[in-house]
Amino acid sequence: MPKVVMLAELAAIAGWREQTYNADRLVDLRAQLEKDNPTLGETLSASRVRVIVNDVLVHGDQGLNPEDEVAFITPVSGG
Amino acid sequence: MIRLEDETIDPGALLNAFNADRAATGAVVAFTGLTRGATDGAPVTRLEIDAYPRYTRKVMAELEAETRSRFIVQDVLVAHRWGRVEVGEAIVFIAVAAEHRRVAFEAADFLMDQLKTRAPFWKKETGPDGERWIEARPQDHDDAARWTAGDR
Repeated sequence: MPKVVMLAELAAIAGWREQTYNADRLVDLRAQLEKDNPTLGETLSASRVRVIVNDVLVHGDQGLNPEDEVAFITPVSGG
Repeated sequence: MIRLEDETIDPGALLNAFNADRAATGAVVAFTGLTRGATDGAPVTRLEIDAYPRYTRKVMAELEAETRSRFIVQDVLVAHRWGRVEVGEAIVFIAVAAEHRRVAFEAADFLMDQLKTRAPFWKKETGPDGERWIEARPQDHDDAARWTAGDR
């Protein structure tokens, strides 16, 4: 099952940092996250939140493999 | 070279090591970013930096590679903290070595602008009024935009 990672304030809202979800598409994963935690689901649907699958930024929906790692991130503040 | 550090960064030690054995280098420019005790007048007692280590290292390496391809530099070092950082401690240290100073200054300036707006770190400040997550400021994005096409 794909591993889901929440970073920074998203981890605080979710109440967890890593969890596995039985999802074979990103839209399916988003629906499950929303169902489990509507506040988190709403936050994740904002345009400021980006999705990274296996260390690559993705846009829109895509298929997920069991070994994939999906991370949700907010705007960065490095340096 | 990039370093993601979960322990205190010692900018002086990093700079001395970076400067060693450089017969071909005429200029080293170094920058240290410190944890401020206040942001926009609001006191900060603690800073926590979150990272997504494998992805963070990947993007830091990409930013180093962009700096090396854009400027004629001899060496680049980026050390960035994550985890809990105390006020006054270094968050980031960069050093750039080049044959002459101008390109070293420019490359260091470019690299910091990219780190501020693109490096996957997330900062949470804690103060008397509670916690707040901070994002790159509009000024940071304006600074980074200086390097895009048409400006040079």
